[in-house]
Amino acid sequence: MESYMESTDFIGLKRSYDRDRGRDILGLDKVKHDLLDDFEETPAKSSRLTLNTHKNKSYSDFAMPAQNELSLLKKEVNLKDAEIISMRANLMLVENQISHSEDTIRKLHIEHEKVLAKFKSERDRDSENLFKMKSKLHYVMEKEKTSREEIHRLEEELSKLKSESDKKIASAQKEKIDAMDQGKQTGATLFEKECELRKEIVRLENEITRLESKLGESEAQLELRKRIQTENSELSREIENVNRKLAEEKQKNKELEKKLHDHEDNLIITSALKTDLDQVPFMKNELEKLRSDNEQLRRNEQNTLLLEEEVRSLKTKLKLVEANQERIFELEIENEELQGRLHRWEATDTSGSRRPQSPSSLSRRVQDLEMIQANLMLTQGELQSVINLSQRKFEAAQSEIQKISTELQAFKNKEAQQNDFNKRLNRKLMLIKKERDSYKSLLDSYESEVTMNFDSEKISQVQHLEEVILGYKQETAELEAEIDSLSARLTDALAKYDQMQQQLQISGTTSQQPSSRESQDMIRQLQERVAELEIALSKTQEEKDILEARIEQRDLQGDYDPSKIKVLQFMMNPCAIAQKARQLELEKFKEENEKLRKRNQILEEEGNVENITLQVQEKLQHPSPSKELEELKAQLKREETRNKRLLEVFKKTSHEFREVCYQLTGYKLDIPATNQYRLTSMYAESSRDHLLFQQNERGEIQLLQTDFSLTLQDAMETYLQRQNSIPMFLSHITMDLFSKQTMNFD
Amino acid sequence: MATSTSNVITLKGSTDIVAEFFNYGLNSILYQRGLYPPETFTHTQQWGVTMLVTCDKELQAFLDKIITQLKTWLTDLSVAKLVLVITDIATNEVVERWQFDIECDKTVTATTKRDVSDKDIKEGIRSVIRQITASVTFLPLLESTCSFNILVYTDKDLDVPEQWGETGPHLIINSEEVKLKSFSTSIHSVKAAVAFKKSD
Repeated sequence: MESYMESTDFIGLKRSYDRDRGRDILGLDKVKHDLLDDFEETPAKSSRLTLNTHKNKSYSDFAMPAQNELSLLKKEVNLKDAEIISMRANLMLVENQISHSEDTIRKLHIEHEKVLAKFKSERDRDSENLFKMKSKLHYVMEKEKTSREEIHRLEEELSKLKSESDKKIASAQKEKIDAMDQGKQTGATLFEKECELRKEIVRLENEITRLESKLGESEAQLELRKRIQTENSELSREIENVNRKLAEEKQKNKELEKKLHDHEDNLIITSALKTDLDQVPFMKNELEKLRSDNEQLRRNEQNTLLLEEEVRSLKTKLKLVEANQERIFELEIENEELQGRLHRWEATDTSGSRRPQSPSSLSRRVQDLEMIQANLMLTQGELQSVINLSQRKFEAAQSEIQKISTELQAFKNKEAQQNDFNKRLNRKLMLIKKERDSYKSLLDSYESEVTMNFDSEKISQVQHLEEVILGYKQETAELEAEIDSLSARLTDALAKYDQMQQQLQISGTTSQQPSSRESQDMIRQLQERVAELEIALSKTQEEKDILEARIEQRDLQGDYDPSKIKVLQFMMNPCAIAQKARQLELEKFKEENEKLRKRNQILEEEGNVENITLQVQEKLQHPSPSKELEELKAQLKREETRNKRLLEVFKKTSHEFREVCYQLTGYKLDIPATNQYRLTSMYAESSRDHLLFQQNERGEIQLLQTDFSLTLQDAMETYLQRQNSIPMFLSHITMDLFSKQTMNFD
Repeated sequence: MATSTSNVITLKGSTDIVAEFFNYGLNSILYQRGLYPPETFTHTQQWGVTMLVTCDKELQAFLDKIITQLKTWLTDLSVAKLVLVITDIATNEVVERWQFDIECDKTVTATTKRDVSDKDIKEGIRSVIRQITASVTFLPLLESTCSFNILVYTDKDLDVPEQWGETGPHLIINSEEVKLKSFSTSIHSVKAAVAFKKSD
């Protein structure tokens, strides 16, 4: 620091001067301060204190003449003593105060002296300054003198210039007057000229009007000419046309001449022909006659043709007629023959009255008969069918009857059985009655034997037996009732049988029932089928639900309809790449394996087999370093990427931070070396203007010398050395640079 | 003005939204399933959700190609499904299928406009993305090294573009399926589902 301070003599000088000036200001401040301090113990204050004591005294004087009694005096004396004591005490206090004030005065004196000394030194410095100022003043005065001289000189020059310019002005004015005279003269001449010119103008105007009229005339003429010209051109065109027509006419003329020539020839010919023509009417008459003749002839020819045709047709007719005549002859012969026969027929038929008088009536009768026969045949057929039908019905009824009769037989059998059963029961009843009688007789015999002793028992037995009999009777009654019911059922069955027969007859007559039965059957069948179909439907519904669920599942699994949709993939997808890489790796491994195997073989052949195998096993036991290495590499890579990311983030945030710092403080902060910080102001005039700070081991920050810092000595002293504040120093620089820049902008 | 336009959607707008969804959705699946190391993904904000997008240049390029091709198919309305298939590299066995059924309204033309709330669509997309993220909890862990492929189911009569080829559906043998949520832009609707190999 010091070495730096004393780097240049000039800087040292400046520094000393500045320091002196700074101290000066400070000293003045201090003096002012001291003076203010003294106001606390001013003489005015002490005088006020003494004034107070005086007041007290006057008060006591005033109390004394008020009471003349002794006791009072004593009291007064006492009071006075007390007062004295208090006064003394006051005195002591005052003395103390005085001594204290003396001390302070002494102190103040010393301080005053110090201040005086300071003042003296200041005065010396001031006188020095004054001297300097005086010298400066001298210099300034000299300068002023010189400047005054200069001013004098300049004033003289100015007056000279003024006189010159006055002269110039006078001459100029003269010139001006001359010029004005000239101007006036020229004005007069110009006026004359103008008059002349006006006249000329008038003349010219007249001429112009004349010329204009002439122009109008000429224009009219020109117009006329033009019209004539156009007419001329039209005429010439017409002439041309006429010429052309003329040529055409000439040509026509030629043609006509030719024609005339032809005509003359023709005339000769016609004269020759005229003689011939004279004969024409005659010839015409002849022609007419010939024509009529010709017509007649033609008609004749047609007639002949017609006649010929007629002749031909007549001939054919004749032939036909001849043939007919021959046939007629034949027929006449036949007729005669037949007439003979007929006569014979009629002759023979006279005997029978019922016989038909004629063949026609015969044939009519035959027809009638045939009709009747046909009707009969029809009725026979119908009857046959009816017979057949009734036969079939009859057979059916027969079978029914047989069935019913078998049923009846069965009923009869049952009835017979019942009757048998009845008879048996009756017999049994008889037997039981006999038994009962025998028991009764036995009982009687017993009664007779035992007399009275078993009377009660007997009676009870009898009673019991009688009950048994009653039961039997009931049973018989029941059986009889059963028989009755059976016979009733039999009659019912018979009635049913009749009914059935009647029904059979009805069924025989009506054929509608089977059809209804058929339809019923059909309905039943259809109903069955419906039921079946419903079952099938529900089954298929269930199946459908299941299938739908399956389809949905398949869809979720990723299945698709290949008829509508296809699956595409990007050929170079990560999976394919990975697969390929794996395959390559595998191949490489295989190759390597092969190589190693061969190597192993060779080594084995050479010997020291045991050693190698041992080594291999040893190696296998430990994880292969290459694998470990790879893992480590992968880890390293991962860490590196993470680190990189962190660095990126850090860089970003630090950049942001620095940017914000730059925006806020106006200083760009760089770290060119460890513990060194370079600050560049936002308003720096050049990029090389920067400050360099260093942080030492204790954490203090020091300013290092740079080209830029050399220009800031004043600020360094005021803010760094005296106030020891770097932020103030920096803000001073910012303010300074900013004001400079704004100045530059202005 | 802003509100009225946001409620109308065109074919192009719908295509953009769906393509964007696939871009973020596929990235999200790849991150969630750990197919690429997590440090190669960065965070971005989309639809109010923090999404992870890959920084891997090759993967980015591949996805860009897929998405641009998908966009043309979406505008043609000829795409039926997009499937992300995860396969075991060693055994070449399909382990997981992320299937997105795309239903295109074939009546739509380039000038059709549909009234639909932008907010609803975004809400739908957000819920699908959230479900994708949440589905990691029930999906089995991918133990072996896996890679992925993207299949696009398109109409049969479509011309196969260059660098693309036909392939099979890559089905999973013995799979379990889970249906995920869906969203619709009223022109395209996307139904998500995931199928994975049943654990023994």
